[in-house]
Amino acid sequence: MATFLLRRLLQSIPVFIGIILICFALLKLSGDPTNIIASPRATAAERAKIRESLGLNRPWYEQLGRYFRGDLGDSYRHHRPVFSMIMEGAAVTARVAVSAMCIAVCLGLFSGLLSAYRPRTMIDYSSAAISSFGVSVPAFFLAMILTLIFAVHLNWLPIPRPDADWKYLIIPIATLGLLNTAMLARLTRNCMLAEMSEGYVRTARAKGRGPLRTMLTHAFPNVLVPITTVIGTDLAALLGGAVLTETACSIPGLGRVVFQAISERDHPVIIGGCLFFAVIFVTANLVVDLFYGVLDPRIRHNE
Amino acid sequence: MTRRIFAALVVVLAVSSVTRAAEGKKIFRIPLSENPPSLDPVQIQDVTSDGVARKIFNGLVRFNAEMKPAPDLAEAVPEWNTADNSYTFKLRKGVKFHNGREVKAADVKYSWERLLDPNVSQRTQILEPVVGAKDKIDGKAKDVPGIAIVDDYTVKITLTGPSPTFLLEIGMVNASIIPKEEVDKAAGAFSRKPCGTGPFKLVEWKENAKIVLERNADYFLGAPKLDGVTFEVIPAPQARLDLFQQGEFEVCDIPLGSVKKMREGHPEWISENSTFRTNYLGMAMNTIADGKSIPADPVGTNPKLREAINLAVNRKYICEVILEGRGKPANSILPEGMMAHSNDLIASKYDPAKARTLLAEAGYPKGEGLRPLTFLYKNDPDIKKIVVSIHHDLQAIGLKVDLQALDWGAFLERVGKEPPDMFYLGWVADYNDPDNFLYYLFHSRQWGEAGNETRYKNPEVDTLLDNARKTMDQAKRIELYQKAEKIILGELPWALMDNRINVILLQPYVKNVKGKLCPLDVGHYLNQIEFSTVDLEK
Repeated sequence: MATFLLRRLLQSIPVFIGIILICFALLKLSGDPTNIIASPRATAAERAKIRESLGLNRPWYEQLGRYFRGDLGDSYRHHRPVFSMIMEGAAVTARVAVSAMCIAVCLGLFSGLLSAYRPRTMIDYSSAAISSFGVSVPAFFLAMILTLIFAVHLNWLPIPRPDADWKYLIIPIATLGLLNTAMLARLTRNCMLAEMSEGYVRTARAKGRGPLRTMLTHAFPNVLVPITTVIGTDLAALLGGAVLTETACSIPGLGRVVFQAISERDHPVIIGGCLFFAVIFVTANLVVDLFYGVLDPRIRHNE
Repeated sequence: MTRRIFAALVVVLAVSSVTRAAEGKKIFRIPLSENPPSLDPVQIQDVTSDGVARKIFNGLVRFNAEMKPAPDLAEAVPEWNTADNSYTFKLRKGVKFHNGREVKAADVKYSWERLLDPNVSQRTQILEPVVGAKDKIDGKAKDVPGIAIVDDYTVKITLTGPSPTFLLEIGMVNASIIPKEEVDKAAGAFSRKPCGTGPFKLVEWKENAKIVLERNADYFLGAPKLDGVTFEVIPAPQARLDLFQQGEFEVCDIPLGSVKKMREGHPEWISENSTFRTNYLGMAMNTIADGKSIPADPVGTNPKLREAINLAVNRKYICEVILEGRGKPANSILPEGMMAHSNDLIASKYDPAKARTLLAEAGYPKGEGLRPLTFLYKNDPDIKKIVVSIHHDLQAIGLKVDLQALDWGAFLERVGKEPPDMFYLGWVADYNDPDNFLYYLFHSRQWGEAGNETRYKNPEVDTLLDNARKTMDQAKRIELYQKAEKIILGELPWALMDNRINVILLQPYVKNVKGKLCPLDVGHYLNQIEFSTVDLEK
């Protein structure tokens, strides 16, 4: 186990190096950030001073080297440490993402199992129709529609705003939760139906096990591997921040921090954000891999 | 069960909203479109940060209703001393910073030397006319001899020569007076822990979410009538409007497309003011080839082509239909209400028939023989609507136009380095002086990214603008600027588009704001309003 962990951690180092290199190269190609930082009336000398104070006139390898030393530096435009900007955004995003994922896992698995238990019935068809809607509708649009209906017209919920109170997070959490529910429900249903046609299921049924019990105790554990993979990557994607939903719902999350940085050419924040996404994805994959061992004894990490 | 949970949720929400209203404090709530990048005066250059900071800080002078310099921390606006090119400021006595310490002359010296320090400041040019400023900016000197402390309440500012705009420059938020000990205490984070002398002081700043200010009971112009001001970051324009309509904000902007609805449905909310913002279609006048400037082909070399473009655009349609009445066709570079503005200029006529004739006279009948012209604009849905309308008008006279959208940074870089044939931009004055328009945008010294993006060059205009900078005689300056503007408009480096009208929403119970907004108030942050006088009468 320890060897596995160590190996995986070592494997992730080239990933981080690659990301820093690619981001840095792309940002350098995208142009000079001074124009956005400088006042429109700034003279050439003043712009040169800004470049100097941001270290943009230093050799490229010095500018790049900083990131390898783990120093993300300060935001060009917001004049504060990138690390704290990302952590503040990530904390807000994590709250929404984890809540949304909890909803998605509960509803998605339940609805998927229900569809698989009663395939080609009204339950299955309506679940499929709702899932198709959920998979196809864009998040920001759903957020706006939910706000319009429940907050503006019916006045049942408050309009989302950047407040720590849970009541303001209901709409964004519901939006992201429902969208991920749809994906999980479809996946669970399809995997379960495939699994239910396996020989061991028929054997279990022949030995007198009830249909529900066969499904839950025999077939379901076997579909958990692909489902866990999807939950892991979906959660990682959510933790990276949902720019559009965060904008539509005024959530001060990571997606907005990074998006704003991109439009402002705030290079340190963009690189910091990308590194953070990489850490999240690498960790999520690692956790999922560890879970495989728990879920399926055939996958052993010490070999 | 579900019903019960839902009922419980409704009760919780109802109770929490009751407690919110029951606080009974007079809080002025303003939605922000973005988190202010910095509240350190020397770093501020955007309307949002300025809107928050002006409630926290004061400078020596401020702008009065006529946008002329008026006393703020200074007892009076000083007279210009021609003998030694100086201003002597007498400070009000007993003015206290938010930390309780009295403002003294040494604070002015500290704040302004900091404004000249390029390591922290991004607005060093404001104090450039001060003796010794250049050495400080270049890092050659620590002290600025032009800022001299006479006694605890007197500061003498010596300039290198007459500077007619100096008192206006220092009326900007960047020249605010701040306490050294708080800057030191914040250890590089003064932009997050601002401390000034203003009517409100910062209590809490949740990044990207909320900024809470509370009243400064010791404010030198009298304790504010409000208990506090809160700003909330709501990036989506429609969400801001929805919240305003639910009574969650006292002021709000209006997303494009909703102005008509608001005017008709809620005329009691509407507040309008003209602004010092001129939008224009810039045309490439000159370009650099082999280190020399030559007229840019074809727009810069062909005045008739520029005139045809100018006559082809239907500004009335843009102002009335696209902007929903939030602009009026601009006839002069200097907006209405600005010093030296002239009503006699008519720079924007709409005459497509004449435009076609001129195009033929320019050598391109129906646009034949002319390559497609590049038209660059900032990638923004609202600007795109205007640009598409201009594009349509230009095509109607036979011009082939290649529209290109770029994000703001790339747009500025492209326009600053090498102007495209045409580009759409706007300029908002920092204060009421033509220098802020004409010098920055048309003097050949300002070529490229410094402001003169069309690379307009006329030695006569340069001389007029330079002379207007050297004299303190306002009547003479007006004459010089009017002359310069006439010459510039005759050569048409810009096809003027519109002067923007600021239309915002204000709750009817807000007192002392409506009717007091000046042309420097762009947007809904009420930047120029003296906030200690604002009240809510619910």
